[in-house]
Amino acid sequence: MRPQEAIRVLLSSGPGKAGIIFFLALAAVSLYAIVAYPLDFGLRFWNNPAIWADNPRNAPPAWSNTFTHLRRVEHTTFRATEPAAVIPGAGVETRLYTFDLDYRFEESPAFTSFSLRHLTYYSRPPLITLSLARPDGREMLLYRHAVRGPDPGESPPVSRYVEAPLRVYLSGDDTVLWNIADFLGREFEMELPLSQLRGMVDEIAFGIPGGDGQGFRVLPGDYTITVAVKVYHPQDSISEVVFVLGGSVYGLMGTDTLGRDLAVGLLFGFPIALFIGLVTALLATTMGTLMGILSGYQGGKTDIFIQRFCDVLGNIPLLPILIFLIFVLGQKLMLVILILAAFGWPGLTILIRSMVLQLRSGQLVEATRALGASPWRIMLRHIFFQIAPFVLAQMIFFTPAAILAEAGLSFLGLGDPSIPTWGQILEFGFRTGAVYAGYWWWVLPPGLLIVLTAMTFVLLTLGMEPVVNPRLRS
Amino acid sequence: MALLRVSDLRLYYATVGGVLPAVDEVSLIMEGGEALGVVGESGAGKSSLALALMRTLPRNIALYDGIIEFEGVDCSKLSDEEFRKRIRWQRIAMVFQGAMDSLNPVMRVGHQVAEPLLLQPGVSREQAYAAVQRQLELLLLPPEVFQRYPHELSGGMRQRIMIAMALILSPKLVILDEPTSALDVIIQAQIMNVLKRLKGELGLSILFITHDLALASDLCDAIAVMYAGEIIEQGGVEEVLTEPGHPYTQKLLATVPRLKSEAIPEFIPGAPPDMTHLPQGCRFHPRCPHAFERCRRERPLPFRPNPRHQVRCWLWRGRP
Amino acid sequence: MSLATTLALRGFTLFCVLLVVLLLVVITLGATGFSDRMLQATISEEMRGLRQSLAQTIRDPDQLEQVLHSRHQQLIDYYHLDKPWYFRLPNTVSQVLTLDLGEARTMRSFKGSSRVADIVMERLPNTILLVTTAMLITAVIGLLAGVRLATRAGSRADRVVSFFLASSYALPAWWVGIFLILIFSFKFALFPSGGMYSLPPPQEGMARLLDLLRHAALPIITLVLVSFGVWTYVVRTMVLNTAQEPFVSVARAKGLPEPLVRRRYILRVAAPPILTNLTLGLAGSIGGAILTETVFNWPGMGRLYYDAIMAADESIIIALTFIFTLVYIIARFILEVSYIILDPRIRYV
Ligand SMILES: Nc1ncnc2c1ncn2[C@@H]1O[C@H](COP(=O)(O)OP(=O)(O)OP(=O)(O)O)[C@@H](O)[C@H]1O
Ligand SMILES: [Mg+2]
Repeated sequence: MRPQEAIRVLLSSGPGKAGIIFFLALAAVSLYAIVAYPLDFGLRFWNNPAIWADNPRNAPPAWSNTFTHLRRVEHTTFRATEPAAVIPGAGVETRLYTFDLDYRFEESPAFTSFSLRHLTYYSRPPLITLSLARPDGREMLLYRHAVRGPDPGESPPVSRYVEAPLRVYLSGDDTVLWNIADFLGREFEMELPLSQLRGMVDEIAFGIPGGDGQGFRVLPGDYTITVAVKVYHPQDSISEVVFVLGGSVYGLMGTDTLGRDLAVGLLFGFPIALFIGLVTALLATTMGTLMGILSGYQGGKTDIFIQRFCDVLGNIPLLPILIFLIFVLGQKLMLVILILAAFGWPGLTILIRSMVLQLRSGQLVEATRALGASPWRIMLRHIFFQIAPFVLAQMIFFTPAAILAEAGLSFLGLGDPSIPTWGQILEFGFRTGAVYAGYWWWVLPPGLLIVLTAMTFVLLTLGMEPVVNPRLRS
Repeated sequence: MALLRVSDLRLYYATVGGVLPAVDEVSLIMEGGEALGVVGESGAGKSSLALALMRTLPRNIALYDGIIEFEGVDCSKLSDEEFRKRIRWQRIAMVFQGAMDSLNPVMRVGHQVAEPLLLQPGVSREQAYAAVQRQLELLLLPPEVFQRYPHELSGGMRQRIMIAMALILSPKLVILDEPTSALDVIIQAQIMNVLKRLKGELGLSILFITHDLALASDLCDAIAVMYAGEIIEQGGVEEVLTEPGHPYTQKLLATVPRLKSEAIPEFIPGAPPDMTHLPQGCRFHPRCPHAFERCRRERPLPFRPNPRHQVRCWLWRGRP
Repeated sequence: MSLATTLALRGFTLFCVLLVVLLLVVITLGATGFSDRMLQATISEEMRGLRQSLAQTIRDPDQLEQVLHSRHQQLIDYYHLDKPWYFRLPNTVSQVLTLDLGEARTMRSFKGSSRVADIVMERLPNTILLVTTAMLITAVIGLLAGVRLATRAGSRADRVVSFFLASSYALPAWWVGIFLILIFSFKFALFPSGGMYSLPPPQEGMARLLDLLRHAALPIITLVLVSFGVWTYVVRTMVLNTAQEPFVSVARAKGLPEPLVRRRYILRVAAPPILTNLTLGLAGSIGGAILTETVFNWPGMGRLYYDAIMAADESIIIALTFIFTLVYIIARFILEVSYIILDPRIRYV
């Protein structure tokens, strides 16, 4: 059957159509992930705690708010590289970085933090102020910081916060406490001891006194966070200002116990799953087909040897041997793929051999052989092309098996640590007790994606059935 | 009273390509002790006719009607259950086409032959097995065959086992669907001899399906020729073979090689019709050398050149 | 070929499988230097203990060193550590084949033994209990549902169900397990999320059995869920294929009542191919069992695998690899024997 015809048959069945659509979707997402993230994503991002430091831990996805009775704070990170406004002055210049926040939640933030990266100044060190404009019209100064002056021997331009950014955890900072106490006294005539204020920073900043003289209730509305940087030289620069509203729900897929954005990890899992499945299947089917054709076409001792070998190799239970080999030889993804392929081909060889035997005794091959065609030519032209659709179907069938095997291995804690896969995300959740804590957003999606991916190939296999088995074509 | 009287029997299949009239307006009469040969090309509907008589129908039936009267009983009035209990295998038995696949591969053949007998009330296992042994003997099979599995038997042996199975309840009529076609000539001759003996000794009526006219003429008293679901000609062996009335039968006879004749066997020109898109008028007209206008328009009625002979062809219109 | 030869041949092939796995394990360990490191670790462990005990009695440091040194040489001799790994190969193979599996590094049996054989044997019955129960349930469901589906073959329901059954191939056991824990254990608190007995385990017979059932419920449901789809599908397809065979119509024509036809002519004939298909799925079930036990903390060999990986206990991992292959091969052999009994065509190949 010609390829066009095979595709037509595939498209004419429901499962085939669904399979192709799913597959294209998987491929598109994978492509996006590869383009959007570097290939060493695992080492550089996923396993780098600094990247995730600001994130809430074990936070459910933001959309889970729709199901809960209380609207929880959505974790939000504001970033700016350029000031929103500049107020010129004599010899000074105030650069304003402003972040507008539409606060519609029914709880106060888990925390707030502020950070600033790579600042360079040429004359006097800049002065940084962080203030909050509240929906009730009140202004609140939260934090003021003077950048450290030049060290002895240091001469301008001076750079600060290059290696590690200036990171202020507002909820726990003492100067912030002072400012808050000040604010309460001025605006609400409340005098609270500092010790009591500690831990209430965010509650007060985003709330008003509850009326009973003690607690605070959330004040919803539009807030503006302003970071004002007073600089004394026009060339002074700041590469990035960040304000984090610590939430208890996060993004599209939530976070894990290290605060990692699961959406990113899951996204990066797409190309890897496809890679594992397809490469393993390709290797195994190539090997299986070659050996099958050889065995069936050559016959004799070669045949017996290959068949005995397949009988033994194909009977080895895969997971135990995989666990053992990976444990001893090291947790490398390529190794997993090679092992899966090495133990996966014998089944196909046995099938291919019997097909080749049938074809070999066919008239066409007999005639060609009588005409003196070379065996290789016969094997390729008259045998391989005949069984090609079947081989392709087998390859598709093998793909989910490989994906599932790798996922199982990862789940046992033997995944390649430098390449995060869905199985590993799940395993980490399982090991750290996410299952027993009910962190569904962490443990369900990776498994669901594995199922979906495997399912795609099962659908394709079902769709391929009429291509392979003409009796089913109607 | 005729043993079997069939009138206007129709069996249509529902297929992907459309409705397929495998048996169309078939009428037959068989007397007791008589053998009727049904001949025709592959796909003519011979097996379908047999299945219709046995009421062992596949699922995809579009139409099944007509009258089958057996020993004076109108079978179409019997429910499936009654037919199974009273007629099938007790009165009419059958040897299906393809004996190779007609036996259960994981059961000993003796037991398979005995099964219908074991279902009869009051028959003990010993009696049944003894009856089976007698049948085997009748069919010239060695007694140890009883304990064998089908894959251990030759094709001819299996065919005879199937015949034994059909005869085990001493039916009045046996339908044999190409019982010899897969066998070599010697076994074929053996089986034909057995059949002739059964017919003579037991007075068995036989409906013998074949595409081999010579075989049919050897065993049968009457012949029916099927083409595209219809019986286009039927009559006594003598009549049909010596004075074939239908152009198709004439062609069919010409294809039979003859030892004593110089004539080279002919082939029938054209191909059998597509059963789901049958031609208008006479179904044979596209291949018929004598076809004229009416053949293309109207379906021929059965005509009787003589009382023992019936032909479905417009050429016979108006003849006595 | 006679029945005995057929059986012997199958047995031999399966034994080869065992041997190949064993060689693979031993050679991998040897060629990567892993076994040297393991032996060295064992020796240093022993030396440390010895130094402590001897330090009490032998006061003279020189003499102590000398004694220790000679003991060290003895141990190296004993373990043949002075020779390349392949000299140790025959010895190791025969040891493993006689189930002399060595000592675990850190893990202990429930009773406190550090012998690998003790640790594994203690857990083997738990695994067998779990897997066979699940398999039996799966088989019953699969047979009933498969036959039922086959009689409705071609209907819309059949197509939809077949499709879902076939795609349950894509369900990983461990994920199904996690899903069930989240729902039935975490959300509704109907079943415990893991283990085999409550803590402390009930002592009295009936209560203990009920407790066991409650703990086994989710793992068994998991195993059944992931495998019954494939079972049902296989049964359905095989029954359907057989039901179309001419001998089935012959049996009906003979006047056999429908239940008899179904039992004797369809199921009985379909049984061998069904069995073959399931034999092929056996290796997969072993994988499923390992993962399911891990998820549910079921104290069987599968969970032991996981614990050993976490504790990096080599000797247990090696032993389990061998034992799992052994169990698989025994199960496989049993299935093949039953196949030969079921199908007369195979009895004399
Ligand atoms: N179950 C069925 N469904 C649809 N079509 C069928 C079925 N059985 C037979 N046919 C068609 O009905 C026609 C008659 O078939 P039948 O088996 O009766 O022919 P036959 O005369 O016995 O042929 P042969 O000599 O090859 O046995 C053929 O065209 C065949 O393709
Ligand atoms: Mg026929």
